[in-house]
Amino acid sequence: MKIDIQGDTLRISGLKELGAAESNHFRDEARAAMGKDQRNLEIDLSQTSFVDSCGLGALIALHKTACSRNGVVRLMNPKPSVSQILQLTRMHRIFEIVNA
Amino acid sequence: MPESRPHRLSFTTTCSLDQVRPAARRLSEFLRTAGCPGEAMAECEMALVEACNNAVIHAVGQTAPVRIEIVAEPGAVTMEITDHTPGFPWPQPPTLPGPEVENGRGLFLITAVMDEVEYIRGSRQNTLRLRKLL
Repeated sequence: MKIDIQGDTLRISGLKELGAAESNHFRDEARAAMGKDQRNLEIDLSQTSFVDSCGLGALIALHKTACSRNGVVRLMNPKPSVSQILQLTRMHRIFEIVNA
Repeated sequence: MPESRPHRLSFTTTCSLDQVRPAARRLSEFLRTAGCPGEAMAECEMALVEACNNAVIHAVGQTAPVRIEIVAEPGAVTMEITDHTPGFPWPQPPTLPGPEVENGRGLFLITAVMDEVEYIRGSRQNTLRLRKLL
């Protein structure tokens, strides 16, 4: 997992999978990397082949962290299988999903 | 499925979250070999992962392995996941929690992508039987 900071946005990329085994670590790493100036999270899902309900839970936890700072979570370029779980669970209602 | 003969796979996996994705990869490889369509394969993988996650997460105080049995035949894939947890009353139907709730979506996802779901709760083990029509 790669983390970059650009202004008020924390960018995360290089996630291969976001399942139950790695979801807590992912959430904690992202939170720890957010400095006082970062309020938005941009998570690149273009290389993420799998997300399960525990991975969704980690994304929701980060959404709440961003909201507490008046920020947003953007999910970038999810693969079709990841888009399916986001749509089934209606996560498109709380996340900005960007297909660029 | 191109062949009429059923394909069968049966294995156990350690009661650990680290072993859920390897079990799902084993399922995918098996279904690929059996000629299962890609979309159905991904949905079977999702359902198996959610079922195994539940079996591991709710296995408080016990480490008995989770047993997985899969039959792929023309027209359907059937998966049985047997755990040794205390089990739980299956909600009818499973519903989505509120958008800010961080857990509780697994059973909803399973029923969303499977055509038949049967939960058999026993005194010593529980079996979740899932069927995907092709």
